[in-house]
Amino acid sequence: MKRLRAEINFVLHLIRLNLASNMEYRASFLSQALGMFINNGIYFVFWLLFFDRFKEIRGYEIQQIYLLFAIVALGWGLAFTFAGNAPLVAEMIAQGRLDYYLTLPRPVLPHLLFSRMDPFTVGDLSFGVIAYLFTGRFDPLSILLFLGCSVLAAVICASFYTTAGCLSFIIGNANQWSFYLANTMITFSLYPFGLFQGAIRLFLYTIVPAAFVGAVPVEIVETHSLELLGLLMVAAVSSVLIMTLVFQWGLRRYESGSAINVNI
Amino acid sequence: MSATTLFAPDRGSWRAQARKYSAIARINLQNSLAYVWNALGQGIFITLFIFVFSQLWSATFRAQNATIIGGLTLNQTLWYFVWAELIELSRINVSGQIQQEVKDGSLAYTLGRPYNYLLYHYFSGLGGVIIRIVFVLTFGAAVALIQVGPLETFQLAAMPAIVLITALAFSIDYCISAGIGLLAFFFEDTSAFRLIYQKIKFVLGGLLLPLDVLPDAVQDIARLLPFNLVLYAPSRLFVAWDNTQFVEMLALQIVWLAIIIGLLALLFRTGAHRVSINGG
Repeated sequence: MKRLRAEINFVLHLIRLNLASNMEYRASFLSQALGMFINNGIYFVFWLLFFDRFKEIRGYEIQQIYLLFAIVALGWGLAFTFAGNAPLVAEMIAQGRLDYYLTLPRPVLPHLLFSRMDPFTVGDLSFGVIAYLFTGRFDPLSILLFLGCSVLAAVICASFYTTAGCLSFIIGNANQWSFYLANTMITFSLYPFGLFQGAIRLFLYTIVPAAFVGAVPVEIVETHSLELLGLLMVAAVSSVLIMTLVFQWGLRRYESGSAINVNI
Repeated sequence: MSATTLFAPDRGSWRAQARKYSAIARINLQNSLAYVWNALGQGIFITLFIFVFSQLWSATFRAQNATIIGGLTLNQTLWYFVWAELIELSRINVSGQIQQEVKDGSLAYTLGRPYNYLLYHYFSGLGGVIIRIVFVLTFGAAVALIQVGPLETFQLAAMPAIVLITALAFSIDYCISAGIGLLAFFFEDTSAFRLIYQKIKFVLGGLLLPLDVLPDAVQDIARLLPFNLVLYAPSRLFVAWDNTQFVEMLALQIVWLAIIIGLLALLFRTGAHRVSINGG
């Protein structure tokens, strides 16, 4: 228990350092965050125009899209604001840059994931919060479920991207492939889930868990279903376990890049 | 000799220039063949997008109980997206590389070399485009064939004109992309501009919705801007050929290309004046 507390404190310390480091380049940090916010806003315009013309698709109206975007954007934003190295895992493995973390007396995976903050994703984070304001769901339970589901979605996003990055342990440089896999997840999660049937649904609940990032959280906030919330928690814990097991397995295959250096 | 001219001073005859730049394109094509797995990834991407679009638009046509939306049938709509995605996924995405070269100073070394910096990137990018087109078209067409069958309005005779419009679309997109990269002379990071440009193309360029489906006011704005000439114009002509529209779109592409090249030249010239070479 004491060890766990020490590791949590260590991660919190890393997050504080990352924030301080980004604040050194305040203009760049803010412009990137603002750029991502505008980027999300323009993409959202697509759905506004779509529903303005077609009103309803497979049980989804614009209100559900607000909620879907709010959860996915906040989840994605939380994931990579804090675990900013998750999208770089494939590249770091391929370039032998794990050496630095291997030489330090801290658990490699959390140290690696939380050593960087992605300023872009702060734009996602703020977009998610503002998109939620348009849903009109201001009762405390809905807000609580929205925040809780977004955190669980964030855990799944970061774990999935990291697991995909571990492909580098097998095929060399899996940078592009982990990017494609993560984009597959985010693309499917941003569309009304009713569009997908049969084997595709199974695929989106298992191999690429887009359903747990978008559709399931939306249903939880709408219906206040505790059973679904339990299912989402199981999915989040499973994704962390799979990530940890795959990473540990991969580390045994890892070959040093002789890239030991000192960060000052 | 000024190193900051957009069009290089006398660097050989036109024939020699053509040989030089085609050699650059050929070398990059060979490089791209060595990384063919990346192009395969683009093919998988289009499979995903076309599949998602087919689900979305099939549901939309059914929900509206319509056979034609925005002047296109479901068959044409899906093939429209194949062509639009073909351009978007195969494009010469050079802004990141130019930004890097501006930031790390390696651009300074290329200014004295016997080629034009922007033409070099254009022809170098073309090599990769060819490989990506092959993969993206193969995968995208396969999904569209499975979902809605062959394009019912396909006209072989119109293909040379469509290829011309598509080639100009690639050129306009390249110039905008290069311009975004050159903004690194003035901004520390241009990624935000890159993302915003991409998303503008999604909506006003016609990547996610054909312009004909947009509300009239938005359509009017979209048709005034050059973004629709990158994606919408070639894709619309591909699925619904029209002689008058072709002439109109071609003229607009030429005018916009001239304007954008002018702005790019200005940007390059202004930016290159800020380059300091301190040996090394």
